[in-house]
Amino acid sequence: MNHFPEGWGRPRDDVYGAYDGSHLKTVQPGAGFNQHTQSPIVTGTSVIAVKYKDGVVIAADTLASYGSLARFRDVERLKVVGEKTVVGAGGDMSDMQYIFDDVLERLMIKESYSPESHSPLLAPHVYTYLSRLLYARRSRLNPLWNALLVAGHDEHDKPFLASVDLLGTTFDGPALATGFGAHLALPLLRKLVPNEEASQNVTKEQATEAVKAAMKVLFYRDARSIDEYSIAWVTPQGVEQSREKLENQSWKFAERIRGYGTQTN
Amino acid sequence: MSFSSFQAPSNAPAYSFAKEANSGFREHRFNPYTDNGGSILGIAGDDFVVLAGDTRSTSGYNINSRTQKKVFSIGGYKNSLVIATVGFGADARDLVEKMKRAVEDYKFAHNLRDMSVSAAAQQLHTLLYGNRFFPKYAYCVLGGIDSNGKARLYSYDPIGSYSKEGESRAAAGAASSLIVPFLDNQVEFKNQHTREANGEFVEKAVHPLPLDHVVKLVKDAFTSATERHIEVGDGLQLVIVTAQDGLSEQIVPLKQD
Amino acid sequence: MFIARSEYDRGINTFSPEGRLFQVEYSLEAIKLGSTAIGVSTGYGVVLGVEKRVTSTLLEASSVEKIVEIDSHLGCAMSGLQADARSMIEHARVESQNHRFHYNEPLRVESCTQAICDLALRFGEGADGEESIMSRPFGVALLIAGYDDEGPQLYHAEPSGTFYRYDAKAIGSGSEGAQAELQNEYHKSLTLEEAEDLVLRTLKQVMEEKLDSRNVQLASVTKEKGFRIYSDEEMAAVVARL
Repeated sequence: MNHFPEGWGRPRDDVYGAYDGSHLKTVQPGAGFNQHTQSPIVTGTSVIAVKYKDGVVIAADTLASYGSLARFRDVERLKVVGEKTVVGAGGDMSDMQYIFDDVLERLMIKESYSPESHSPLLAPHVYTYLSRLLYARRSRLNPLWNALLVAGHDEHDKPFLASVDLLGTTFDGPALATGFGAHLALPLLRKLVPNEEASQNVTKEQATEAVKAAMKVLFYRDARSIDEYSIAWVTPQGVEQSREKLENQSWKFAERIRGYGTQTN
Repeated sequence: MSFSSFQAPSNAPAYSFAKEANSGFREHRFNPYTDNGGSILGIAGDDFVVLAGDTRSTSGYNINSRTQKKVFSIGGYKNSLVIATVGFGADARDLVEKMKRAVEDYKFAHNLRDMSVSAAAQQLHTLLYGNRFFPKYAYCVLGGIDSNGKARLYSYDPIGSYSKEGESRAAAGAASSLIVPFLDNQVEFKNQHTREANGEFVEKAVHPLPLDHVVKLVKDAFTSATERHIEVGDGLQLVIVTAQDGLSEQIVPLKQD
Repeated sequence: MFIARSEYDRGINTFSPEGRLFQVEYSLEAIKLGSTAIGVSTGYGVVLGVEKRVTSTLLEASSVEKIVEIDSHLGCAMSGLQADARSMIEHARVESQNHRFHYNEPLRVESCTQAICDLALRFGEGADGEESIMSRPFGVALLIAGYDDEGPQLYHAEPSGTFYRYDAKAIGSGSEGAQAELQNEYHKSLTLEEAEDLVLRTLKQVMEEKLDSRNVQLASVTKEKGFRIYSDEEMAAVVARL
């Protein structure tokens, strides 16, 4: 996966060569067919998260882009599900809103009707549910164009962090990042938590520091990002969430960059 | 295609030429598949099977996970049935879930009898071939112990072809082209000759290998594949099934580069 | 007209106040009108025998089929409404082939019996969304004989959907007398020949006609030969032994 959500789910040119579309049929406009999502429209960029000894810290910026246009500057891409789970979404924002405001709300309403004695809805349950949903939708060739991170803990209060994308591909790890974050942020986060054991010795402060540093790098280098982001800490005690704004920005380094834009030398 | 572009059959030789895309909308399609890399292999001894896979999951040049397992126990006869899958991770996962369910369903449909390895082999074929026109992009190796206490090993392509006789070794995935010739040589003794008393060279006779030797072969195969293939590495999941001691699993570290 | 039954036998799926399903019970009566069928299970295989009731000298005896093959290792004998048995056997044959297709192994005898009995209660009005396939219960009982990895087995399946495994079982009009005879004569160490003799001897006792090689039919299931209906010559040989 890379930092172009519109490229996700397509055959990779480096593997299959450039797509030869010459055999494709042309479709007359207005012909009575159902159009499934074939590319995302308004998109969100990376979501990043790190496990630490008592929980998970997860962050995503608040920008929703329309191509290269910074279309909506204040979009919440983290969703608290139940009491002890946070889902972060990148990719198509309308599909994200469907998942957050329809699918997950419905799930929470259903959950609220179950008796108190019923084991609570935890991150692994939300995750399995979402991964089945995304895989089912890809199997109907009508994907939800997102990359999701699910953060929380399991029934033994162990931190839980896992990822699912528009194809239903699933994996977990001590540090995860979607989109551009997989390239830029993940190597930084993996320095702090190279494996599961390492994450058990990391404090909330260390994890937060690493996530904030990664969000800063992403803001400076991801052209589809913004300097404001949402960050959440998920522990067995509950969810703590806040908004961060990147202060003291310095673009001095930009002066030394050559070969782009209007520069001629 | 519009009717105006229809041409009556003629005696001229029929060739199809790619047409230049003309005006109108060009239809692009969502690609429902990806390749998550990694490799699997299986070796059958006389009364044991070893199934192994690396624990790396990739997307292009990215490493999704260094700890994702590819070998799964699915229950069945003496809890000996194991499946290794590689290819598109989501399809592979779905397939394993479906096989687990099939094994469970069989049990309840047949008075709590456990599914045999040959029955599971046919079931997996039906499952894969049932998706013939929207294939599950997963290569599978199935292993287990039969009712005579003998090891069985089957391997499948994504649409379900397999050999009912089973095989002595199988490999699939990103590094299969590296591992298969190695197994040919080390398990089937291909291209190995011994000199007879009369000075003549004859092909080395094939015999089932002992477990400790097989485990060494598997580790060698994966350390070598890790050296030469970028999608293989991180960890080696080794699952051993024996007629006497049942199922055991170990994870051996591989290089993370 | 309806004295004791108090009309609870009209609705096909209606319990009587005493908790009985009269239509199912009546279907069991239909079997008692049927010709006698006997099965005997031994360590070497299972023998099935039926009386054919050749009611006319003009009747072609070979066209009376009361023992049929389900699969190469499964067979069954019937008593009651033969036409009902056809749909049950059709179902069993399909299940058996399906099992081979899915699992590359023969269907086990118990699973085959279960599959047949799954059909038995699908009469009357279907539940919501479920299609009912029959207007009344089956009027036939089956003796299912087969061989699998648990050895030779004999099962009895009724229209009520219940089934039991037997060492020896008789169904049909002469079943009461025949079952008593089997009870006395059966022992675990019977050979296949002794089982053939026992089946024929028992049939002979309960048949109205005089038993000959034309009005009875034998079949067996063994490990070596699977399910097999006896040829005219074999029938003659067994009858001659009596």
